Formats: sequence, C-alpha cells, structure tokens
Amino acid sequence: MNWYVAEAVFQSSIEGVGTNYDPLVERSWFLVSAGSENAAREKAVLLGRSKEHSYSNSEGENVVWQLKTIENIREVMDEVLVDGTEVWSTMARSSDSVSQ
Amino acid sequence: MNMTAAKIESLFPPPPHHVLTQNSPPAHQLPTAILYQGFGVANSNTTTSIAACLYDSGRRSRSTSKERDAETGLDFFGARYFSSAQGRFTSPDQPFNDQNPSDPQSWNLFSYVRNNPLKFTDPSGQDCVYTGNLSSDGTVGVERGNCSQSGGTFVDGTIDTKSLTYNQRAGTLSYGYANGDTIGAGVIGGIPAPSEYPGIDGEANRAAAQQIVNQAGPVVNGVGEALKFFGYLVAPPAMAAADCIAAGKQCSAGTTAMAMFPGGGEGETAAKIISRTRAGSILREFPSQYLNSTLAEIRKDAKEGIQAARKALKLLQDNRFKK
Repeated sequence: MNWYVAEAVFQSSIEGVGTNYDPLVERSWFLVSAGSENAAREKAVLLGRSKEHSYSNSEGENVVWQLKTIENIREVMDEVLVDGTEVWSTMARSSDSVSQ
Repeated sequence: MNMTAAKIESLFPPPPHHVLTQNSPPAHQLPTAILYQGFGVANSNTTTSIAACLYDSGRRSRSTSKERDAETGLDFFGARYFSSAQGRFTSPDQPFNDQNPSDPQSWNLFSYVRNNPLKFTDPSGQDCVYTGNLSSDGTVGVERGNCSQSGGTFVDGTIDTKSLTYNQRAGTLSYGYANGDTIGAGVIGGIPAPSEYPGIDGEANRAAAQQIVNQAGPVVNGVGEALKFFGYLVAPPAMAAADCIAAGKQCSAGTTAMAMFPGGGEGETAAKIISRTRAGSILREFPSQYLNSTLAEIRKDAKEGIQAARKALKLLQDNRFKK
C-alpha cells in the first residue's frame, strides 16, 4: 500500500436560485492509501462523494457542495508520513501569474 | 476622508448637559437662549415661538451642535440621523458594532449614547477604526463618522485616540471614548501581531519583546510622524508591548478590556470576524448555524468531522476572502 494525494474539486450550488448565483469552487487535497494509482482514484471518488454536504445559509437558502471531479492523483514519494513529508508541490515560471 | 487632526478636534461638541445655546434673534421677538433637554428637545418653559426656532434652516447649535434638518427636524450626526423627539436614531447602528454583552443599553441599535444623554454625547454618530496596517507599521486609522474604505470597524461614538491600547498577545485593540466621559469601552479583536514580532510568549520571543519595549519611547514621541491618513494615526503596539512586559505575561491591560467585552481571538464569533475581516459575499455560503459560534466552537466541531463546521472554518481562514 502506498500513500497518494488526491486533488478534488468541489463546487457549491444554491437550490432554487438558477443562474443567479456565482458558485464557489473549492480545491481540496486529501490522502488516500491504495495499492495502485487507479485504485487510489476510485477510492478518492468515493471519499470525495462522502464529503459532499449541505446546510442553510443566513438567508435560509440550502447550500449544496458536490464533488465535480478528482483532478489529480499523485503518489507521496516518502513511505512514512513524518514531519516534513512532502505531499504536494507545483512548479511554474515566475512570470506565470497562476500558481497553486 | 481628508480631515486633518485640527479639523477633527473642532468636531468635538460643547458639554452635553443642558447646553445653553445662543441664537440670532430674527426681526420679531424671539428668545435669546434655548435650554435643551437631554435628547435635544428644547425645553418649552424657556421660550416662546419654539417651533419656528427649532426648525429654522441654516441654524446649527442644537443641543449637540448638530445641523437640524428644517423639514424633518432630525439632527444629522454624520453617520445617521437622530430624532430628538424620540431620543432615538432613525436607523440602526451596524450589527455587532460595539455591542457589549455586559451592558444591556448597548443592545439597542437605535439608542443614543447608552440612553444617558445627560452624561454622554456621540459627536459623529459613529467612528471607524482601520486596523489593517497595524501589523506593518504599528498604526491604526480612525475616520470620523464614516467608513469610506474597506477594512474598517464601526464603533458607537467618538474614539479617544489616546486611549487606544493594543494587546499583541490577544490580538485586540481596546479603546475608550472622547469627551471626558465614556459610554463604556470596546475591543476590536483578531488583529494580527506585527509579523516581525510573532508573539510575546516563549523564550524565543522575549528578545523581540524587549526590542519592542526599547522602541516604545520613539514611537510614542513620534506623534507627528503618525499623522499619515484619516486624520489620526496612533502607534500603540509598542506601548502595549511595554505594558505586557511590565505587567507580566498576561498583558493585564488587554485582559481587562477582554473582560469588559469578550471578543477577539478564539472567543470571537464568526459573525464578528466576518463583519470585520472578510468579504461580505461569503455569507452566501457560510453555514448559518455557525454564525454566532465562536472560533473555538467551530474549530472543535470541525475536528469532530462536522462538514459544515469545516466549511465555516475554511471560509473564515481563506485569505482570498479577506477584505
């Protein structure tokens, strides 16, 4: 079994407002233990769906958060998770304004 | 916005208790003086033709020196209109603004000076305190009667800028009100410590704290330097840090303020944090059940795996939603 990091994308919606709402998109990175990358992805989808939830906002509207996609699966290079274990990194040119 | 310190001083009203006000007599016989009751209603025993005098446009000098609208009879207090007949503002104060759990008179958003006009006045209706630059240069901005820029916190009255005390350990700014008497005191919480001094506690920071103490004198003396914008800028962090060192690790000045108005840090409610530091748009997605919860309560639920609590915590902590 290896550790993988799944990059999940969730999106909010509000029931009954139609297109009159600009959804929030949340990127969430969480750990998954699996024997292979494919197994990790399948597990990540299940875990992602288990994180879907809803609640009321201050206006009494029902806010719903749903999994849109598992955008990335990446294996953690270290076998044991300890202080300093790297779980995610990105690279970009310094001229690139988009970074994560 | 472009007020100077001198102009701000000039906004301070005359003493509030039964102000005797001179008026220019028009052609027909009018009183030469009007005695005002506490909430600004003229005492009818002192004069005749009182209606004409009260609603004469262009006159100032009512009981709190505020301009009275000729048509409505309302006094303009900068941030709000005040009805002297009712002893109430005509619009509410900002929610979560200077409401003190221990002072029931502060719970009424329409009330004037804690319902005690014989003792207190509210020259501007509200002041606005900008704490955003506290962490970078040790100053805060105070704007009279308006919050024209983002990142300000309304308070219910005119702040005595000399009373501002920053508690670095608690991340709070306490204040009193001007004009001798106070209508209580308040605390603005959740203010980050200056980045170069990440906290007083701990051996590693004692040297930094001592450094702040050493800087206290020059900062306090540099009042002229501090007048950079909004009319007033004060530099309390170094003073407060010195207080903390002098009083021990508990920073007694800040602790006293916290006792008067629990707030700031882990004890501050989500609603207050949002109104002070977050873009109001996050209310659309913020779970309503956590609006009146403290940060500590939300954190506890989040650790227990409650998804709505986790969402609340993320919305409060994500700097993309910062004001």
